[in-house]
Amino acid sequence: MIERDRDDVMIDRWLRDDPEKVAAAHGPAGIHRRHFLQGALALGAASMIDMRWLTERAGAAPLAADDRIFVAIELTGGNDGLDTLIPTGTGRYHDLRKGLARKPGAGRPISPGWELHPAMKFVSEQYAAGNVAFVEGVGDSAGNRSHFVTMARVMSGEQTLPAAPTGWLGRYLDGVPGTVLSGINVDNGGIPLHMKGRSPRVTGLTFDKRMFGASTTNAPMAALNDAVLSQAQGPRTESAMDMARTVFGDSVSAARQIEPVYDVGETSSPMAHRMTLLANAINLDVGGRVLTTRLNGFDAHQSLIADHDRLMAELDAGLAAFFGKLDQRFADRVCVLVFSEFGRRVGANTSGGVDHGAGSTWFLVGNRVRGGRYGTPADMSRLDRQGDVKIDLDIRSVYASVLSTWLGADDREILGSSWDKLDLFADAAAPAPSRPPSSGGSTPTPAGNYVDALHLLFLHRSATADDVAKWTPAVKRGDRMAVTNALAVSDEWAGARVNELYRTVLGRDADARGRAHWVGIIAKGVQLEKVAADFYGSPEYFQHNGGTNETFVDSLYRNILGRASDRSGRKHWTSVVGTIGRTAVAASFYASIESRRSRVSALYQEILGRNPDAGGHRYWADALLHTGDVTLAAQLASSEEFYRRSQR
Amino acid sequence: MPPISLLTEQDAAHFLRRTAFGPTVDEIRALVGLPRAAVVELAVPLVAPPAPAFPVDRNRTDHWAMHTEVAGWWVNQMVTSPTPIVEHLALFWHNHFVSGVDKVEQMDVMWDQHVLFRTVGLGNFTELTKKVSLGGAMLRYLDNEVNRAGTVQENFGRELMELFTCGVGHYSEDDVLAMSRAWTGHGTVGWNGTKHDLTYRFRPEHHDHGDKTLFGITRNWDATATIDELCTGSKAIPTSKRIAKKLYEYFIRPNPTDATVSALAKVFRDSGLDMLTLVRAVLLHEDFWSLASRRTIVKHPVHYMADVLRLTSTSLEPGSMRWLMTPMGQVLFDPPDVSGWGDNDYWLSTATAWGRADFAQRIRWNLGDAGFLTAIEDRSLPADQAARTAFAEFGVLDPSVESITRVADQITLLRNKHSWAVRPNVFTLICVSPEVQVR
Repeated sequence: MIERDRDDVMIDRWLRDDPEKVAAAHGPAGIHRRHFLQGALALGAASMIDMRWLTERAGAAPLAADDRIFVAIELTGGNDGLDTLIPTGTGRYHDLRKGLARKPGAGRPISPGWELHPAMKFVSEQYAAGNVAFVEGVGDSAGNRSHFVTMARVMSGEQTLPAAPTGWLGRYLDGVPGTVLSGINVDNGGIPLHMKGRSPRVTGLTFDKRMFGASTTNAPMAALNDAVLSQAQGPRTESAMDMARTVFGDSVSAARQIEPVYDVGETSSPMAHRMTLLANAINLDVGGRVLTTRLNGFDAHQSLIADHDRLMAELDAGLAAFFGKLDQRFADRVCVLVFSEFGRRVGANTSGGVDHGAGSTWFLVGNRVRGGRYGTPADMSRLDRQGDVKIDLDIRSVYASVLSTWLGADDREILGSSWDKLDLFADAAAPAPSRPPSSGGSTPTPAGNYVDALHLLFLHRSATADDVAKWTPAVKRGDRMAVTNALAVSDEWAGARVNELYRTVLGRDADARGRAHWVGIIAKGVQLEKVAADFYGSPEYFQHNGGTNETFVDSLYRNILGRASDRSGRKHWTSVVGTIGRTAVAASFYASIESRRSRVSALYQEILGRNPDAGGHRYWADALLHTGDVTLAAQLASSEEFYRRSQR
Repeated sequence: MPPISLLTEQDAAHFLRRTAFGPTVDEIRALVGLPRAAVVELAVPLVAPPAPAFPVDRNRTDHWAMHTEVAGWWVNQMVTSPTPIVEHLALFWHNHFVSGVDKVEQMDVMWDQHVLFRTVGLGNFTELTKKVSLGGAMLRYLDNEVNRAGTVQENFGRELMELFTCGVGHYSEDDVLAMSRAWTGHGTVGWNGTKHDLTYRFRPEHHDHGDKTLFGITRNWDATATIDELCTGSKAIPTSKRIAKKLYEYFIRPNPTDATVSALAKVFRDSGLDMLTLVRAVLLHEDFWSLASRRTIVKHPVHYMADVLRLTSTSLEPGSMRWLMTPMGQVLFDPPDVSGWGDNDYWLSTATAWGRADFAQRIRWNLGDAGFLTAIEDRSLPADQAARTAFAEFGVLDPSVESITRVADQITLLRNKHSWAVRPNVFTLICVSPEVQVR
C-alpha cells in the first residue's frame, strides 16, 4: 500500500507538467494511470518507480516467448571476404594474391575448392551442423571505397546519399514496442548508425562496467538518481537541449535494469568478453531485440596474414563464447549476422596487405539459420575494373530477408524499397512467432524436450506442437527407438540430407528435380553413403575440382578424409580411377576404415557430445559397412544418455 | 550601415559559451553593453600566440604515460588559457586533420602536429594542410610512409580529398589513384637503429615520376602541388566551402544554408584562406547571434570537463583526467578513427551520459576548497531561489522552469531529511542539466 501511495504521488507530480497527460489520466476511468501501475507491478515492485518511465514509453516489458532476437557484429575497416571463405582451389586466386594466398588444405574445408579461414573452428563446426549461411559477393552496390561513406550507407540501409541519419535496425526498433533497452550496443558507449532510430530505443554499453544511476537504496544517491531519472519527462524533439536532457533520464532507467549483465567471469579474449555481455543481456530478458558490437582492425593495408589470423580467431572465440553463454530458451530465437563495409582487393599490395575492395562475404549463424552458401562465390575471372570481387548481391537483400522472415517486420517500409529475399532461415514458411499457441507450450515437458532435440538433430528444425503431441506417447512408453527410426527415414530427413550433399559436395543449392530424384532413391532404402558416392562421382564435381584424376583424388582426401593425400595412396587411387570409375573410388573412400572411424567419432560428438569408448568405436566402425551412418545415429539418439542431454 | 548591436546579458553568455570555457557570471556581465565587433576583437588574437613548450621531456619513451600527461595538460590549458579560442581552434583542427596516438605511437610526434594546430592553424589553410600532410604523425597515421611507386597505398591520397579538403563528390576513384601516386616516396626516415624515426624524408627512388591525370589535368603531379590544386586551384570552391561549413557548425549551429556557406567561403578565399579572417567572419555572422543558434550544440566531453574544472577551481591528476575522459567517449590525441568525433547526438548515449554523470560525481568531492555552492546550504534561502543561485554559479543565468523545479525539489527533499548531501547532489544535478551540457 505504501508503495502504491508513493507511486501515485509521483504520477501526479509528473502529470502536473503536462496538460495533455492530465486530461488523459483524468479522463474516462483513468485508464492510463492503471496501465502504468500494472506495467510497473509486472516488472517487480522493488524498482517500481524507476520502471514507470520505461513502461510508459514501452507499453511492453520483456519479449514475448516467440519474439526473435537479432545480433549484428560489425567487422570495422573492411573485412577481406577472400580470406574468410577462401577459394583455395582457384589458380587465379593464388596468382593474384601471391604470398598472401592460403594453400589448399590450410583452412577448414567447406566445399570443393573452398575453405574457411583456419582460425574459425567454431564457425566451421556450426557450418557442418547446418547453422551457418555464407552470403557471398555481397556489398553496397552503390557504395564507393571510402570506409565512412560506405559504412554509413551499409548501416543506414537506405539508398539515399548522403546516408540517412537513421539506420535499418534503428528504424526496425522504432516500429516495435520497446524501451531504451530494446537495442543494446557494446563498444565504448556510443551508438552506431545502424542502431539509430527516431525514438529512444538503444543503450550503448561500455565493455567495462561504468554506469551512473543504478542505486535505488542508498538514500541520498537514490534521491539524486530519481531526480536525474525525471529528466526523461517532457518533450523529446531533436533539439540539442531535449536530447541532452532526456539522455540522462534514460540512462538511469537503463542502469537500473542492465546492471547484472556485467557478471561475465573469466573470458578468453576482449571479443569473447563483449560477446558474453551480449549473451548476458539476452539472458537477462529485459526486452533486448537487437544487439550489436564490433571488432576493429580489418583495414588490412599491411600485414594481412598476421592480423587476419588474430582477428578471425578473436571473432570465432567471440561467437563460441556467445552461443556457449546463451540460455537454451533463447537458442532458437537468436540469429547473428557478421558484416563489414566492403571486401578487399584481390591483388596483394607490397606492404603485405590488400587495399579497399568491393564484394565481400558476410555470414549468419544460428540454430534456425538455413545453412549453406548464398549469393555468388567470388569469381576470379570476373573481377571489376579495379580488380575487386564484384558485388552481385546488394546488402539490402540480406536486410530484407532478416527483416521480413526473421523479425516479421515490413522490410519495404524500413528499407524504403523492395528487395529480392534470400531463403536464409530454416523455418522460412513460418515467420515469427514460429510456434502455434496451441503448444500450450509455455511449460516444456521432458518428453517434449526430447522430441524437440530429435527434430533438431535429424531435421534441423524445432518440433512443432503437433510433433510433440504425436511422439510424446511413444517416448512416455519408453519406445524411443520408434521415434528415432521414424524421423531418421522420413522424407523430410532425406530432403535435408540431399540439400546438405548438394551444398557440401557440389557447392550449390539443389534444383527441384535433382532433389526429388535423390529423395526417391533414399526412400527406396539406398544408403546415404552410396548416394554421397554418386555425388562425388558426378562429372560436375570432377569439373569443379580441377578436372583431372589427380586433382579429383586430392579433393576426395580433403573432403572425405579431411586431410591431404599421401604419396602412395594418391598414386594408387589415381591409377584406378580409369578402371573402376570415380563413383567406385569415392565409395571406397567412404568404406575405408579411416573414414568409418572418423564418422563414428563425429556422430558420437554430434549426438552425445563426447568421443566414443574404445569398444563402441571398434564395433560401430565395423558395423557401419553394413548398416550405414543413419542406423548409428538413430541408436545413439534413442539412448538414455541423449535423452538426459536433451533435458538441459 | 546597420546599427551597432550592443551585447545583452544573454548575448554575452552565448558568446562566451562558444568561445571560452566555463565563464563565470562576472565574466559574462563584463561584456554586457559592448559592441559585437569589440568582443570578437577581444576574443580572437591578431596573430597566433607563441606555441607552448612540450609539457613533458622529449627524450622519454613511455608514450602511454606521456599521452596521459599531455592530454591532461591540454584540458588544463583550456581551463587556464588567456586566449581560450585558440584551444577551441586546436580542438577543431585535431578533429579535422585527425591522427591518433593509438597508431602513431609516439607522443612527441603527436605534439609536433598539435603545435601546428595552435600556430599555423590560426594562419593559412594551404600551408597548414601541407605541414600536417608532411608531418610524421600523418605520414604514419594514414600509411603514406609506405606509399611507394608500383605499390601504391591509397589511404592518405583518399582521405586528403575526402576528409581534409574538397570532400566526397569532387573526385573520382581514378583521382584517388592519381593522388596516391603523386604522394609516393614522401615518407619517413624509418628505423634508425634505435627507433622508428618519423621525421619526413623524400625518397626519389620510391616516387612515381610518371605523368598522372588528376582532376583531368595530366602532368607529373607531386605531393604539395596537389594541395595547391585542392586549396587554391580547381578544387578551391569545394574546399573553402567545406572548411567554412565545418567552422560554422563548430561555432554556430548545424546545417547552414548553401548560400551562407558560399558567402563565408568567398570571404575565406578572398583572404587567401586566412583562418582568423574566417573565424572573425563566423563570429560576426548574423546567424551566430541569432536566437535560433543559442544552445544548439552539445558540448564535446572535454569542453564540459574544462567548464566544470574551471568553475570549481579543481585540478585533477592527468591519470584521473584520462580515466574520466574515456567513458565520456573522448580521449584527446586518440580519436576513434580518421573521421574523428561526431557532433551533437553523436555524444549522447546512455553510456556516455553515465560517463558525464560519473565525472560530476568525482568532482563533487572537490567543492570544499573553492567554496562552490556554499550559498545554498543556507536553509533560510527558499529552495527555488537557492536553485537559481546554484545555476548562476555555473554561469547559467536563464535556467528553464523545469530545471529550477528539479533542483529546488531536490533541495527541499534533502533539507527535510536533514541530509548532508544538498551541495553534492545539487552539483551533480546541475552538471547533468541541459543548460550545462549544451552550448
